[in-house]
Amino acid sequence: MDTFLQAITNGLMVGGIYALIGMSLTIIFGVMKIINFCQGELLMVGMYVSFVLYDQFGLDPFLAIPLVAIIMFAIGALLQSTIINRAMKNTESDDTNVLFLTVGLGILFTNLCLMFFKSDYRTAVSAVSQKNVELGNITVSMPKLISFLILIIMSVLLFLFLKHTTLGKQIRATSQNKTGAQVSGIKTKMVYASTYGLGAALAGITGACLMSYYYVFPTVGAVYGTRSFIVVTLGGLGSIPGAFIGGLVLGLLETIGSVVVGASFKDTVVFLVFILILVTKQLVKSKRG
Amino acid sequence: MGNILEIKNLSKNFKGLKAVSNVSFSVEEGKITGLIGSNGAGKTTLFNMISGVFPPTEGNVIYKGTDITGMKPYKYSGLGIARTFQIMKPLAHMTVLDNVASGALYGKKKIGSLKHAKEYAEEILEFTGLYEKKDWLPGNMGTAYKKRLEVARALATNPDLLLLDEVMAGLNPTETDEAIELFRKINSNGTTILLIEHVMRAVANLCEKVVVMHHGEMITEGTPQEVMNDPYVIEIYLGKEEESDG
Amino acid sequence: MKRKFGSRQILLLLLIVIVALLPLYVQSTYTITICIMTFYMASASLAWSVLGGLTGQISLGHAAFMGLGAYISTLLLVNFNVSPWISILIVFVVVGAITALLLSPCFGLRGPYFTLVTIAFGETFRNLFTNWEYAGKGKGILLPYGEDDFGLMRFSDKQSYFYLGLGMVVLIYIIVKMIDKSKLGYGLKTVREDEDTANAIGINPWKYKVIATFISCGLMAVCGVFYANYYRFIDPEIMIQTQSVEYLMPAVIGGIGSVTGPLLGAVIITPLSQFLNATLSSIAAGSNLVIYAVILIVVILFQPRGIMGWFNGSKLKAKIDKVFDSIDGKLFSKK
Repeated sequence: MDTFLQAITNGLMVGGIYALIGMSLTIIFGVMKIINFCQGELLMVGMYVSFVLYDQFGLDPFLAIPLVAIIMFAIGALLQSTIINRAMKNTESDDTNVLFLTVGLGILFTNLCLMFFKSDYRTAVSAVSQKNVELGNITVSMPKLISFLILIIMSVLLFLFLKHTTLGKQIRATSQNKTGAQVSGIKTKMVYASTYGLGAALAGITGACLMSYYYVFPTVGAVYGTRSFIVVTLGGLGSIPGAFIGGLVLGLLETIGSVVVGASFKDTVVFLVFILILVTKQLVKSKRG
Repeated sequence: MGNILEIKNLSKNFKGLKAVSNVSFSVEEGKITGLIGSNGAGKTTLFNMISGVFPPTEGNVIYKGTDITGMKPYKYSGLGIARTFQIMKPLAHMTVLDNVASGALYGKKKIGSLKHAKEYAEEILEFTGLYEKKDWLPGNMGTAYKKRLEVARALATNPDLLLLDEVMAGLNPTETDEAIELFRKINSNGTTILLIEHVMRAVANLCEKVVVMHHGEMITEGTPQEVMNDPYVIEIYLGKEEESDG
Repeated sequence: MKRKFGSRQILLLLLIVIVALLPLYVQSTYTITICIMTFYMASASLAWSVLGGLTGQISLGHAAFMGLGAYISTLLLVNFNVSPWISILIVFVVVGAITALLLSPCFGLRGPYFTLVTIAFGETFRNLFTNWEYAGKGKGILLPYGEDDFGLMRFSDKQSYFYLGLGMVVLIYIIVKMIDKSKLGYGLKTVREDEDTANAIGINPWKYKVIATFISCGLMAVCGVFYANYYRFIDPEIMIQTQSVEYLMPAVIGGIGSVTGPLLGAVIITPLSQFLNATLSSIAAGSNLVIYAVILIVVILFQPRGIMGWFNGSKLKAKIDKVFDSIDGKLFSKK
């Protein structure tokens, strides 16, 4: 029973990271209707930003979060307004080019980081890195628990932001009806840039959290990128609450899957479930006509 | 001549909403039949059921005496039914000639060799007045030409029944006249036409029989004269068109 | 009118002959190695383009399908002493069938959703092979060394692999070109452009996607046989998703949707990336791939249809066509 409870706890902790990266992907999709194939790489960049802040200024990864978020927002907004926007305009009806572009950006980020930081594993130590919390017979590492709390806080903040700020309302309006939003005077260009910036910032925050107990290397993003696709498929593309729940479900699926089929095959379980859900959703949709 | 197509009690519900309800009419072989109605009358929904895009909630579509209700859409052209799309769907990265050759390779014609398909496509392009543009990409042509391309590609499948979905929308009066001329020519070669339009002038000019739809229901059918003199039609349909024209 | 056999084909043959004579004049092993890699990348990109270019279904799982071919042929060789020459046929059929079967329920998924499924299948295969005892787990499999043996596709010199690679790329190019110019090719391209139109003119999109998958993944597996026998070592990392990206890059840069595109793309980008790798990566690792990525991004932004997309719509092509046609006219004038 304890192993099972421990697996569930671990699952929720991993799931928190997946939920955050999933939310960052889904918000971009919701507004721009593109699947950002370099989301994992944005997370990786966020990890390196967090690492540099630690390495140069001794900043604790958790304390660095606001700074990482601002830097990543700037990078994201700049990227969208210059490069991605151009590709989106190029191909009104054809989204394969945006797909290729974001894949290309992923390669660019990975190798820029490889150039600057080499392929070594880098770590940043948080004040709480080595601490554990005991809950009965279950042990949770402190940084993972804090990361999970950050997920909750970020979700609430995101919800409040979208509900109550002008920009948040504009983002929601654009995601529901682009033409309608344009007609009512919303500058979609600005909304796109801010949304991509927001997505990058969330990915960066995920990276900073991860940095408190994990290490960074240039190709670390690939795994999280793929996981973020699964999360949003589980939760429904474009749905933020869906990504929240999808992330936790994926985390649980992974750890419980590990217990059931062994850790080596957990990826297979995860991917097969993913394929099954995608195909079933498609079938249901086509049956409805 | 008999009926090539019979629509029997066709209905379609979308999430409880009735888009089309209990529509029945027939299309006589060798003739041009028109289906008119204002926007939202359910024309396109009806058209999609007839052409197999989605199955009806109730009712049947009988083609040449066989029930084809709910048949997969790609089987239609083999039976001799071809269609155009209201929102034009040219094969954007293929030349005009290749667009039409595709239709000739498949469809009812099913030409085996590419060479023959291209020769046949050239004939069709000649017939539809697109020959000079055969090496163009569809995206570089104007609306009128794109609409012609839709018709040419459908024609290349060698249909017995041609379903045209608002092919004259967005054309200026001269272009409309040219289109009417083309459809007469197609019809005189023996192809039956079912035409969906809200351009009354075109329908009155071309069709021997007109079916009028409103709010998902069929309200009347008859010759263009009969239909246009029907007080109900004048009230709900022509009244609206004058409004939108003004 | 273009002829079946004219000056264009003669030029192509001439080009193949010139390339084939290269090892006689070039002694540098380095140059030969780059040629072999170019042949391999061009073959793989051409195989990818049957599904990705002609049919418009973007797969990011092709590295895994290549890996399947490499693994199946290697396991057959190591355990049952089956010649790789025979494996070529076996993997084409087996991998073609497996992928067509696995992906067939997924063809209703459009655009990026289909791409996500191919990533998932690719990563599943990698995960399975990483943990499969029989296939050497994560350690991979070493192909047996020994004396040169044509029947076992085992050579100690690069020249032999050069001709093997050249043969492969010529064969795959001809196959893909023939598909492009056939009725099947028109069906695939119509599906790529618009599935509703395909339906309306009597093409069953699902069926054509199955056929394209079979051919594309089958050919990819054939490339895998070459890969395994050339490098003589395989491990699950050859199936990784980033490797799939490498295979589509020549197609995107050369021109997606044209048959010459992937070939041209590989001829440009493989030597370039090898050159950058040799010169830059010693200074800063990754810098060669940074340039690689920048080229990709620039092409996508400024020439979305790639080099061939630009060329096919250019005046240059019209001029070249004119020259070819006039030569054809003189050579094959009607009596």
